[in-house]
Amino acid sequence: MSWATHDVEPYVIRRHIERLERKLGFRISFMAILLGSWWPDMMTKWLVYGITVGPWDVKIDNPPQFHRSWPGVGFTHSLMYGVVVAGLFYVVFRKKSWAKVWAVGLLIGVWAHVLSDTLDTNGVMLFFPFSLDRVHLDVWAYAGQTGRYQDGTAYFSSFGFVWDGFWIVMVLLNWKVLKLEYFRAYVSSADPFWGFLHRRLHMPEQALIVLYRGAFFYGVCRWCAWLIWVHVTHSNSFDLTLGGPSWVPPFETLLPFMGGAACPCGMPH
Amino acid sequence: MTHDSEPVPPDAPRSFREAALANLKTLFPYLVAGALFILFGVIEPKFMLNWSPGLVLLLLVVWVVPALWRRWRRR
Repeated sequence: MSWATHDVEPYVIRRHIERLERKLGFRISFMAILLGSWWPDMMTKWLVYGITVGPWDVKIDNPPQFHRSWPGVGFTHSLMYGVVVAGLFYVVFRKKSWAKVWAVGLLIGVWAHVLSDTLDTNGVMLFFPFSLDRVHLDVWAYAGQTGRYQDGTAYFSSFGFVWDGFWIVMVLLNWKVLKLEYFRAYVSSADPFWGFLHRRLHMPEQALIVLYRGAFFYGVCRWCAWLIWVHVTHSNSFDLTLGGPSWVPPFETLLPFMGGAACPCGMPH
Repeated sequence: MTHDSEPVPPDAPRSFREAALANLKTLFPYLVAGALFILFGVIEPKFMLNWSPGLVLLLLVVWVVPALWRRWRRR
């Protein structure tokens, strides 16, 4: 899984979809791309790490299986899921002028999330329901089964933090996307969401631009804070080997219809 | 529509130096909010696990407090 990447990459996407927008003939909502980028984990992450409801601790027995495989909610990390979410959104709101503006944004956002998550050792069922095989490039270790803090420690000790850093640098190279002029010309003018906040909630433009920059701010700051927390406060070392860090315990995910056989890639997970 | 075609507002910065100062003035409250977020996050990492406290902090530092300050100074 990726951390700050899901907050930051929508800005780079927003900057580079202008050619697609010209072909489609309409602008694509930035908020929809951002929401789509968060959507697969919003549906699943709280159960992966576990939550406490009153006296009960709710946690899944096998988080890697639940999060990315079938049986489980691994379908939320597939290309088809993006199509279904965008399609349902379009069908429900098809009479609204902004239906396609948001539907295409959601599709792009979900796909960006799914493709980013192929980089860890658990991978995603990219072609669900046509294939239940998980596509995983094994650049860093999936550590959702170890809990939030250990997961953060593993991610920010491995190539994961480099991946987040790459997207932060990409936004900085495309810094104009954060400017007020860009927000006016390409973001707020295309999406009635901002008009809604302005008219109904009486938010001035100064507040809207802060909201627009908010996900980038959150991504960059937590990237810095996690790096300090993991490596300065808690003195963990970096492990920049493929599939690292090596201390993350291996996990088992069942491959349905194969009697729980090991993953055909041969990796010990 | 591109912002290049927009008319230049009368209060637009005239020189590179003025433009850089205007950019720094915009950036400064974000840097303050960022430093606070990182400080709170390192002290209590729960703060980093949800985007909403970060957004509230950002709105407070970059928008609410400066707006209140400007209003107070006008009196």
